[in-house]
Amino acid sequence: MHEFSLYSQIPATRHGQVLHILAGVTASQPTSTLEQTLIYQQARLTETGTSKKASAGRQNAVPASRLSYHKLVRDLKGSDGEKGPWTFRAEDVPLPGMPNFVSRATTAHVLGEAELENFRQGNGWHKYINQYLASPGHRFVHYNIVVRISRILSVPEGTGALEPLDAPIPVLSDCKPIDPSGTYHFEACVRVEDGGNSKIVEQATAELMAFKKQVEGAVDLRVPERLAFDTRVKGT
Amino acid sequence: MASLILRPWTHDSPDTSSLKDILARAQRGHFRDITEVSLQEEIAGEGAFELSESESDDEEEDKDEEQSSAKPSTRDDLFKARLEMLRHVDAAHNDVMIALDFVSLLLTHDAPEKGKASISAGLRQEVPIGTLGHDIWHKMPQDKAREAQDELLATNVRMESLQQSADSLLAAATRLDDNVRKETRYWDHVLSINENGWNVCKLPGQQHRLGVTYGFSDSAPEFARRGVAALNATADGTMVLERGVGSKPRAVRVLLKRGEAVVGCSLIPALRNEGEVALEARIRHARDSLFDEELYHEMLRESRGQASLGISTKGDCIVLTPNSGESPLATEVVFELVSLDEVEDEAGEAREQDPLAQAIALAARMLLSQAHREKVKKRSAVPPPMSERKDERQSLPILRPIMAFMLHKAAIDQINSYQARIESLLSATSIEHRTQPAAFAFPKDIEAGGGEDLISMLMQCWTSEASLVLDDRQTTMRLETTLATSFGTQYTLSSADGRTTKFGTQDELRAACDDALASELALRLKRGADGGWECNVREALLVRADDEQGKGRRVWVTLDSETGVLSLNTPTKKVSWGSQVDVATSFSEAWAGLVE
Repeated sequence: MHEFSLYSQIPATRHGQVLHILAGVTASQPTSTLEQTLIYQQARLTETGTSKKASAGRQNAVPASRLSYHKLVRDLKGSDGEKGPWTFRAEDVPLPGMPNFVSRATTAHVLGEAELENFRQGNGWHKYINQYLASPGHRFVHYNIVVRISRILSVPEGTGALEPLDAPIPVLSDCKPIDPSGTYHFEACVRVEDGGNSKIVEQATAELMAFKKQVEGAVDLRVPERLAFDTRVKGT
Repeated sequence: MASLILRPWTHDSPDTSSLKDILARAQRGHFRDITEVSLQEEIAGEGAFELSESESDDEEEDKDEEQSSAKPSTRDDLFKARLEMLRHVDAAHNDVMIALDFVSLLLTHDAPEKGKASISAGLRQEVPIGTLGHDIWHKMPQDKAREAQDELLATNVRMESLQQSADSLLAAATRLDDNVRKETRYWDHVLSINENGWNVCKLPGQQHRLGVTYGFSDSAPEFARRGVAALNATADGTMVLERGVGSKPRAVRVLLKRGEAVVGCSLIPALRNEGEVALEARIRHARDSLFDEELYHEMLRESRGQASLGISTKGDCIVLTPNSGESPLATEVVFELVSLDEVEDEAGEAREQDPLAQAIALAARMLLSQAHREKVKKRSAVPPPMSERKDERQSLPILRPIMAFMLHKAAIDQINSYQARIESLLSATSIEHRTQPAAFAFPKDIEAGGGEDLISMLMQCWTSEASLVLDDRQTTMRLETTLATSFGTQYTLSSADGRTTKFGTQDELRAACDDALASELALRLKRGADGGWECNVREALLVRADDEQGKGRRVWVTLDSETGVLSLNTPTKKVSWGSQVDVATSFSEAWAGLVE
């Protein structure tokens, strides 16, 4: 599927205020989340049907030619207080020429046990690189837009030594924020099933821009540099 | 006026020195009163004096120069006086030139040539010539009377205008007072409404107007839009809701009907509560009316899709008929939207099933609130990626849980009536038995934390059990109603010998139960009788083999709850108990009689 997103930064002092504003805009309360993201480097290309690119037609013409970084995400504050299932996420480089928002093709699906095996150490498919936590995190949903506000924490040294899929969750007090000032990361994104359907794409982008206008002044959404989202592995 | 042209004194060179220099040398102090005549007189009479004055001035100057160190102030004063005089002369010159211009302009009217000669260039450019005329007026005699009248008029006019200003000021003051009072009342009203819990907000389209929100944001869009009303102030300061909102309140009423007779009716909300202002009563009516209208609308929508469940509409009413095929006298539930002003006071007489009707009305309202809550939860969940698929709005489950409840209740009533008939038959035959009627089963510890818990209890599957015990052998009938899996009640019969069978309709259950009970009675007879009898349990038949007299005996038991008859039959004789037959013998006696 295709994702359109906009980003912003919220200083720590304004965090509460922004949560209130968004609760008013969406007329609902935030859901608190604690997301753990593992970053893997793809070691081998898959030639068979388990393609990691977007489905429906277009990948047959363009096979995955470059190795890229993939993410495994799970929400540790699930509905029952248990750890949620791992979700695989692959993001493409954003399309160029889009000054108003970031537009990129992504794949995301929940992994079963068999597929998880590919990510364990020892299998040649993926190599573990790093992980980070997003906590405290809040999520709002406004019609089709998903808004995520979180603070990114890096895990302490040595967490990668154990198998990260099974290792216990790093203790929150040991993790330091990546940004020492404690700024929060704000992301607003709309997902579209099929990036080729221009009618839906127009609808989605119109909704995203309307949302940007609506929160203008409270949160200034902008488009970061395109190549900062590059997920290709360098040197291959 | 004579033109004032000063010519320089003799001893000066005839170069064109400016008037200023000439005047600087004149040193005469004021020359306002100087006229040609007076100057000439002076020249004539005191010419010598003039000369001598100038001489003496020169001498004075010389003396001053010689004695400069002794009287410096005098010299400075002199210069200052000179400067001041120059200034005055300048001003005077200016005035004179203006007067000249004025006179020239005047002159141009009558003697253009002369006027044009003396008019200055500046004025010439500004004003065309000959535009100023003059008349000679004779001085009018003083008219005392007219003057007095003029005085009077002037005074009166002044007084009038003063009074007018005073009046307008007073009027402004009263209007301000009025406005202040109206504003105070307006804000008092707004504050009182706010303090009573209603949400006062700014209206989106209009500035300077406040409105009250009484709607529910999770309703269907057409109802959510109607949930705001503007607060308008009328001329005398009272507050009124716009557009007559809240003036025709409506409510949903539940009637329980058996045939044509109304056996139960739900309560209608009161028109006005104690201690409530008319405005708040209107807002409350508006909110309740909106909620009930939405409830009725959603039920109507649901009924269109659920006709198979026995939900139908008759005119304006939604009718729930549980088990329409069973009995024409079954209780049906009727929902209607009535206007509070026009409703007849049917609630005057208390009917037997009023509490049930009220409970149904309450349940419907709670189910709508629950549907709103579900909507919020669904809205907060992460949505799937956008695609072409458009989801139709699902109809909210309001009638279905109520229908499930009514079905279960009807089933229980029927089972219990069946059991009562059996019981009467058995007591007619003096057979010992114990029965336990079916009833609603609730979980043991009911800890309803809130509306959601109550609703979840309402939505669960209803089960009940009825049992009949004959000589420690128990026959159980189990009822399960849920609209999730299949329509209607599922019946399970567990007979005493451990068999369980499921049935879909109650007729089948009854027939099977009749058979089971007949078998039980046959078994009982067999146990009570001496040996030699064989029992065919399935047929409830007791057979004694042919004995030495060649008399075989076949006796069977039949139980028919439809006709209400229990009978003990042989091929030749028959003893029955039941509603039509009044037999005083007991079962065992009849058995003994038949066996002989």
